[in-house]
This record gives sequence, C-alpha cells and structure tokens, in this order.
Amino acid sequence: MEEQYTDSQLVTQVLQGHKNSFSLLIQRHQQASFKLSVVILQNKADAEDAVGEAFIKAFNALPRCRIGTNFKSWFLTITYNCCQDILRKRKKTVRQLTLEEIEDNSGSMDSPLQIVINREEKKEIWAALNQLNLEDRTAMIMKYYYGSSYQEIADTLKWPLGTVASKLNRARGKMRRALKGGGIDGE
Amino acid sequence: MENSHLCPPSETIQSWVDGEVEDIGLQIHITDCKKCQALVSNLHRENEMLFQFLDQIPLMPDLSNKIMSRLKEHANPYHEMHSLFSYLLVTSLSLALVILHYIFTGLLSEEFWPVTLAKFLYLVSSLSHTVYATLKYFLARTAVGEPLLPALSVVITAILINIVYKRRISNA
Repeated sequence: MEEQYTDSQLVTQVLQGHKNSFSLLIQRHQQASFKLSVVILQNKADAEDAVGEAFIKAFNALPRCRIGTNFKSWFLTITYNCCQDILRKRKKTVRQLTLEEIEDNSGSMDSPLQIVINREEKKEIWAALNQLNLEDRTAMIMKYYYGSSYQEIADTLKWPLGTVASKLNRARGKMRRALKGGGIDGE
Repeated sequence: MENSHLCPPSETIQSWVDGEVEDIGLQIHITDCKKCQALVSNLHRENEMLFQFLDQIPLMPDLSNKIMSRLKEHANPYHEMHSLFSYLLVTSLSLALVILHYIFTGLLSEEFWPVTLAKFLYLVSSLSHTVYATLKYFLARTAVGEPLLPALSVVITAILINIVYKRRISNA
C-alpha cells in the first residue's frame, strides 16, 4: 500500500508527523545515493557513511524543501555535498576501487567466457569514468543513470545552466578517448 | 536526402537525445541525415552502456532501521527537555551572576549592601521604564501613520522568528 505513495506524498506525511514514512523514502533512494557516493568517494565504507549523513540532513531540511521539488534530485544534491564534506576531511588520498571490488556477477546468467569479455569492457568503462574529474563524473551519473535534467544537474553542481550541455559533451569526449577503440563519426 | 552541411553541432544533437531540446526542424533533419542518425545511435549506445555498468554496482545493506533509530534518538523528549533545561540553567546562572555582582560589589564599597541593592532595583525599574517608553514611542509613531518604524519592526521580528524556527528545526 505504501508503495503507491509518491515521494511528494511521503514527504507531506513526514512533515505532518508520520515519521515512519521517512523509512520508505530511505528504502527507495538509498541505493541510488550509494552508487553515486561509491563513484565519488571510491570507498564503500565512506559511501555508506555519506548516505547515512545525507538522510539525516535531508530529514532535518525537509521543512525547507520547496513544494514541487523532485525529491530524488534534491536528495542527490545533499548526497553530493556530503561526499564533498568527506573528501575535504580525508587526510590522505584513497586508492581507487578496482572493478573487482565493485562488480557483482552473482546473479549473472552469462557464460564464463561472456563474463570475462564483459569484465574487460567494464574495466575500460570504469577506468574511463575515473579519468573524469569529480564534477564531470557526477554530472554523467546524474544524467545517464538517474535521468536528471540539465537544470537539476546545474543546481547540484552549481553550474550555469547553459554550460551543462557543453560540459557533458566534453566529458563524453574524454570518456571516448579513454575507451579503447572509441570515437564517433561526425564529431 | 542528406544535408550534411546543415548538420547541427554534436552538442545540440546530444541535448536533443537527452530530451532537453524539442526542435521539430532538428528532428526532421535527423530523419533525413544518415550522419546524424549514426551520431544519435552512438549516443544512445553510450548511454545504455553507462547505465548498464552503473546498474551493476552492488547494493548496500539496508540502512533504514539504523537511520530511523538515529532520528528517534534526536527526537527523544528527554533530549529536548535536557536541551531546554540546559538553556534555562545557563541563562539563570548568568542572570544570577550579574545580580550577585551588583550586590556583592557593594560590599567592597563604603555603602551598605542594602543601599547597593536599592540602587540595583532602581536600575532595573529605570530599564523597565525605558523599554516601556520605547514601546510607547513606537506605538505612537504607528498611530500617526509613520510607515517605516512599524515596517522595520515587522521585518526584524520576522527575521528573528525565522532564525529561531530554523535553529529549532536543525536541532530536531
């Protein structure tokens, strides 16, 4: 029954005092927040911390959340800011996560050979993604995984709206150059 | 028929693929231009590749119980009462120290402490009278239609209420 409520309805319920509705919001958005955090922080433990902190901040900031705001994008902004806070507190550079540490083939129906082939492709994608700077990486994930609009990306990363398209275009170009055999005709 | 010389920049095609641009002319051009169709096809393929890759990042353990426990702890009435009690205690102690200062510094002077206490009480009553006179002045200005002072008072009050309200929410 609770699955039928939209994010806006759940937010309204929380503001009316039904705090348990926030639990449903957590279950809906924690994985998305975690994936963004892992890619930014390159560390699963820090990513979990960032997600936890982001939800606490989101709860406290709910009364200030404007009506009609897309909760998912708003929450991703909070997650991004929490990741920034953790990065600032870090005293030393954390080594980049390897693909083996993040991939999960346990549910894969592919043959072993296909898994190896896929892994090679994934390694290239992961390496190409990590070549981008933090903001470009976040923008790519927000757009092409979460389907955020250019306006939402601009709000999160504090970019001028008119530059989002060109920055995404440049980020894609960097990824293509980093990928083996990449390149698009007509560029 | 290809109109390759009219091909828009790849950035524009990307924005169109991203659903940020609605341009009938562009759509018609893409329909007619094989070069742009190839670009659109590659963009879709890249988007799909990135999506599939990110979708395979493993899930994290469910944090909902842990987070709700933390939120309940902060919302604990005891916690709120404790905060209020601490606030009242600090305020009361500060006032008490001020009063004691005026009373006991009287002992160091040549006057008797009841005289100093009387002086202190006179000071408090003067202050109350000053506050009253100030309020009366504001009300008088309002009565004659002076807009600035009442407006300023409302604005300052709104700002203070907003600050206090936000502080209470952030401490929840």
